[in-house]
Amino acid sequence: MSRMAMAIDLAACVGCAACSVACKHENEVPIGVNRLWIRNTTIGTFPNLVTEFRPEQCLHCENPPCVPVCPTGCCFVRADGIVDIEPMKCIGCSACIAACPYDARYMHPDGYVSKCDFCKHRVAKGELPACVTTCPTLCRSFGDLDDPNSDVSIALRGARRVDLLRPGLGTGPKLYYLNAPAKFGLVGEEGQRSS
Amino acid sequence: MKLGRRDFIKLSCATVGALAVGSTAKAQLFPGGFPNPFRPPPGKWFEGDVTTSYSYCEMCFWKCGMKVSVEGGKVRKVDGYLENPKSRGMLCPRGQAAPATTYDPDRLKKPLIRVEGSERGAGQYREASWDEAFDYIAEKMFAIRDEHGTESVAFMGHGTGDEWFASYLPGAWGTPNAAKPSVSLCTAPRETASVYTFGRGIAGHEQIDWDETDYIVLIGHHIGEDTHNTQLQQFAQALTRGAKLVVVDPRFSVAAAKAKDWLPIKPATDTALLLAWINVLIEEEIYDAEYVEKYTLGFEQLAEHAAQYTPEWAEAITEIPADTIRRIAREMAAHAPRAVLPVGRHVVWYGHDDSHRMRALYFVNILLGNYGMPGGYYLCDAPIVDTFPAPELPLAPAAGGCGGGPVEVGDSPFRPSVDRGKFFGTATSVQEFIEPMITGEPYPVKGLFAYGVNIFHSIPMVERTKEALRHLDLYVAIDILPMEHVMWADVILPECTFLERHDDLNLVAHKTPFIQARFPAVEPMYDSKPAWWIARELGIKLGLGEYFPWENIEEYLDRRLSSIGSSLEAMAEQGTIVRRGRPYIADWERLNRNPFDTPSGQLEFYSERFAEAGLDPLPVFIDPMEGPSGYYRLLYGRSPVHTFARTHNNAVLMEMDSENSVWLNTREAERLGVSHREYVYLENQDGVVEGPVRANVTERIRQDCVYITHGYGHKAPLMKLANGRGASDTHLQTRYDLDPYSGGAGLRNNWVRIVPGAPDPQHKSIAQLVRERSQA
Amino acid sequence: MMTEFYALPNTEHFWHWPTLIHFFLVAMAGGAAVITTIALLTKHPKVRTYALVTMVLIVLDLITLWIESPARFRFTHVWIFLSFAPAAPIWLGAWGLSVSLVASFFVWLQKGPRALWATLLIIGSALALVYPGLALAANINRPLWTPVVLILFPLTGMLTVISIAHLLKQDWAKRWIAPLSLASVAMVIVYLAGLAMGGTEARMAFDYLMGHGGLLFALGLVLMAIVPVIRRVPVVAALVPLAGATIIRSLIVEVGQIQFFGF
Ligand SMILES: Nc1nc2c(c(=O)[nH]1)N[C@H]1C(S)=C(S)[C@@H](COP(=O)(O)OP(=O)(O)OC[C@H]3O[C@@H](n4cnc5c(=O)[nH]c(N)nc54)[C@H](O)[C@@H]3O)O[C@H]1N2
Ligand SMILES: Nc1nc2c(c(=O)[nH]1)N[C@H]1C(S)=C(S)[C@@H](COP(=O)(O)OP(=O)(O)OC[C@H]3O[C@@H](n4cnc5c(=O)[nH]c(N)nc54)[C@H](O)[C@@H]3O)O[C@H]1N2
Ligand code: SF4
Ligand code: SF4
Ligand code: SF4
Ligand code: SF4
Ligand code: SF4
Ligand SMILES: [Mo]
Repeated sequence: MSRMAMAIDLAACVGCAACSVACKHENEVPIGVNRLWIRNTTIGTFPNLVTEFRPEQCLHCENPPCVPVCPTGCCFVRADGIVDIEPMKCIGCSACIAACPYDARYMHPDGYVSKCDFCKHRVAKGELPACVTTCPTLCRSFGDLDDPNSDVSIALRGARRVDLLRPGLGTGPKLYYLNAPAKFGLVGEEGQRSS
Repeated sequence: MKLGRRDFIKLSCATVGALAVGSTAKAQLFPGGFPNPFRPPPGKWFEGDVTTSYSYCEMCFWKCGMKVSVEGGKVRKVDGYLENPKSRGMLCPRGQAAPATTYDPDRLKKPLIRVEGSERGAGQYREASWDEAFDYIAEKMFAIRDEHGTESVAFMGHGTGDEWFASYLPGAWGTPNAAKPSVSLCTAPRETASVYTFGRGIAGHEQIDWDETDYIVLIGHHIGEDTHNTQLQQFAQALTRGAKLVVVDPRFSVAAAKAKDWLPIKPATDTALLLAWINVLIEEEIYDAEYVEKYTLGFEQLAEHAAQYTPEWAEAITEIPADTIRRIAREMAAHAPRAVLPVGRHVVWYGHDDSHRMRALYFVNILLGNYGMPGGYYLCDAPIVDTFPAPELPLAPAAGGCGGGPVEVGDSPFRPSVDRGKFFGTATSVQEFIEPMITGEPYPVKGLFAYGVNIFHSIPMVERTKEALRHLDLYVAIDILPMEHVMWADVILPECTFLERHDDLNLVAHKTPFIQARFPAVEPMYDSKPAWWIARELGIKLGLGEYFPWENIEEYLDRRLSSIGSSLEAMAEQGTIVRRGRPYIADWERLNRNPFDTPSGQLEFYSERFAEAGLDPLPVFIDPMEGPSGYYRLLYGRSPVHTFARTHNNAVLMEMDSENSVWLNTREAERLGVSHREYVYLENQDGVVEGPVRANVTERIRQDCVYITHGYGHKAPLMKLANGRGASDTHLQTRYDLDPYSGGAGLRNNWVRIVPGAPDPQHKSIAQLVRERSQA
Repeated sequence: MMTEFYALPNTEHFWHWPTLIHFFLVAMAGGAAVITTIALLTKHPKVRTYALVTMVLIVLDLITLWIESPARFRFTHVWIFLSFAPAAPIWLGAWGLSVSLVASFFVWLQKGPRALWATLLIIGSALALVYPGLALAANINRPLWTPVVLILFPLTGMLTVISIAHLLKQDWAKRWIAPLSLASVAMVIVYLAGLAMGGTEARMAFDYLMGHGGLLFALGLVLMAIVPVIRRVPVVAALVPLAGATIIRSLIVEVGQIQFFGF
């Protein structure tokens, strides 16, 4: 058993989208839908500002709301914790798209649902996901949470702070945001809290 | 912070709306082809037979080493590789998107000749064979030569192939009128300042010792949006390592978002800030006295000169508090020599003071004792590889390079370039070639080659450029895309993209100097050809065959590589050859050599040579131009996912960032009644209008300026994705100010006002355009 | 706060207009199955007609689903019936509809054990009626699909089918229209109140709903509310609640596809 996970150091990420472009080509993601996008948010007033560059993709939730709603069982959690889809079994009902709180899933023009699969074909070969390899700021780490020596475990231990997206939903994301620049954590969450 | 509910709803509507227009394949009766119930989704490329080859990236001019994966005869993916000191295994967004440029269906496909009698710019062409195109060009060139001399043909080039079209061919043909936009519209002031201060140029790969530095001060230089790969990597790693960052920028740039201090300086006043830092370092005696004593010349003059530039003086000009100026100077000194003010790349900002600003910047670095020291600027030279044996060119290549110093004119049978004598430095200034095409002064320029130069997007005063083109007898464009300027040419020669071709070796001055090679990953598509082939065939047609004494590029490259004990075959296996460098002064001193190639052999604060030429021997602050009231200074910079104006038809990159927006301070927007994401027009001081372009109402910029990313606003109907999106900064640059030292053209002397109420241009989504293109 | 994107999250609507038709038809089909069940249990003389209508509606609904499916021609479409995913509302709905279809068929044929068909119909029709609301309420991330829709949807579903029955001059239907309408109106009010008095996200959702069809929504509500007044006017008495219920249901499905993540 393993639990594959990713961490992104927001102190280093510059929101350049190299990861997103790499993902497009690696996984032949059609134009019009995305496995990975960059949300860049600013709070504050001139000149006291905080801008956060936050790449978003499937978080490979430990308690993924997208899985139980799937009527054919083609959306499932693999033994290594990667949340995956068997396209041949997908009837395109979009129930999982509705259930994902993070907008991570899209309908492929060929009629099945798709999303980030942590580049499982690369992981199978012992390589890192395409977005991790190309990231010029080296802010992404990937690996097995159960292995204390994996890149991701090391990154998590070394972080000043760790944030999850929408923790209130209890999805148990396995994509961790490290060292968020805002005082209260991720900028969107903060906005929601104080409004 | 109050959550802008309305903002959200508007944004989400815009987003959903944009998506809805390009809604998925729903409308198709049979999504994914004729129904076959048993057909599995198409296999993935990586499950096929994948081969890889080496190249270096040409999506911008940084040239990162690249590994190209091919499957089924198609380039599927590109990656960096670890052994290459530029990519170090990574690529930036633009490099990653290279395959989408090769497979852009809007590419130039065949040589085209303008229909006889049609207007330039009317876009009427007939297809031609290469041979016919070359004959046509040769005939016109001979006619120009006979009437006006060889010098009356000008060459502009940018990109790897510019070796052929801005250096070799002009040298063989005999014209000093060859130039690159990457000099006078980019680096010229820093190069002139550098040569006259350090006795060395700044390398094309800026030699900042990021790995060792502890304190970084960026002046403009928006790393993060400027995504030069290696630089971005090292910058980010330095920050992760704990280096402190200060950013001086009128705009809260991406880099500023990472900084401990952001100094929102009044635009055009940086020289004052730098002079004040010089003042503090000297007045407070916190400069590196030992270093200054040992390596520099003219410190006394500098100290005396700088005494007037107090932080209080600078505060009034820059709007940065004097206390802050002092504090940062002290912090820099405390971290010296591992404190550095990196030199930017695009430094032609305000013209008249650009070289002063660059010199002042270098002086702060020298006072911190960091030039040639760990954590400052390292020293580097390009590796040496012999040229292919050929007769000496009649004229030494004149264009210079973004890393090269000014070219000296020796005795020559040719007339000097049309811009010679206008400024102190001798590098040719691309924008100064335009006026002579119209006026015929100092002598007529009647022919023009544009190789990989976007003369309507990189050279200011676009209308003047168009007027100049109307005066030409011959205008040839060698390009990959039907850009607007390309569709003005008499002859259009389609080059193949870099993934489809060999190019010359790339020799990189770097901490570890290295040599990299480019191999074609796939055959050229359509009837496109590589630059080396075009140059050689044309050369032969022009009777210059003796300068191309090789049959093909393989022979050429193999011969060059053999001079360093390698071969083309070895290079195909290796991609890059890395050499050892001499990055620090100590490395040179061990060999009893002096790295500083100035007349004095010292780093020169006081420049005798400038004084002799009647110029300021020490940097001074010159009051910037002021704009009309009600107008904002137009600033511009990079989108991290685009390169200049060249990637705006790349489907993947356009999906990332499909139109630019004009950054406008929230309070100004309130005053003008402009709301976020509303479409507006921009009108400059001369009445030129651009847009519609979205307003980006933001806290991230000062109130006296606006900002757009460069490269949008294409007016090229054949470029289906790029056409008509956003606004072009270049079209709004109807004036520039020349740097008398370097010939650089300061582009930030233009002002715009915001004209609200532009109609929503109703752009189709990129996804929809891509679908339409693939169905056409 | 200001947000910009490079590339966009997948916020596009995932259910399109055919899905709205499906939601309409499935309400009718589920409701018809319930009526068939009651008719069977009460030995109503028209039970065969109801069974036939149920079958037709279910088949029409399945055709709509098939047209709407982007995986229309995938052979494995049928796997939906071979998998076991009781936590998936769509799986429950699919079984509910197919069980109802089979049972109705035999009821129509008047063959086989009546008790078995009755049992199957009780379960199947209940599932078919309840599942649309379940499929919405399962998404706790979409603030317009609150648990209230679990009751609102079966109620309005029944209202839909009864209105049509009334239109088709089924005498018994008439007396159910007003109670069902008023119950629906009550649930809509509970629904709106829940949003308006809920947390930040619920209130945003409320505003969003009002901004994207608030007037239509009000119209739907009024149409259902005036049923007692107009109940004596033939045809109108059936059409008005039918329209009201359909508008409210469609708006909740359509507009509810929004989520306010991260803004
Ligand atoms: N993604 C991407 N990266 C690129 C390129 C590209 O096309 N795309 N091009 C490459 C090339 S060739 C170049 S030359 C570089 C250019 O990139 P840089 O050398 O970084 O260019 P600058 O003009 O220094 O940076 C622009 C910044 O200067 C700020 N600025 C404007 N006016 C002033 C001022 O008066 N004072 C100060 N302090 N700041 C000011 C702007 O707000 C903006 O943030 O980028 C390189 N990298
Ligand atoms: N207004 C304004 N002007 C600027 C700048 C700015 O920021 N704003 N930046 C300045 C700077 S720093 C620089 S370095 C220059 C850059 O100036 P340019 O190099 O002129 O910029 P690009 O827009 O990249 O234009 C490149 C041209 O080459 C073509 N091309 C791309 N790949 C190939 C190829 O493989 N072969 C051939 N033959 N052609 C190819 C493209 O289609 C395009 O027409 O612009 C300068 N001018
Ligand atoms: S490539 Fe890296 S730095 Fe760039 S946006 Fe992605 S995660 Fe951030
Ligand atoms: S992020 Fe969305 S798609 Fe990914 S596992 Fe979580 S719920 Fe499923
Ligand atoms: S769309 Fe496909 S993966 Fe998603 S729930 Fe339906 S069948 Fe499962
Ligand atoms: S892990 Fe792979 S699939 Fe997932 S976002 Fe990164 S590149 Fe895309
Ligand atoms: S910086 Fe980016 S675009 Fe430029 S050469 Fe490197 S990978 Fe290519
Ligand atoms: Mo440049």
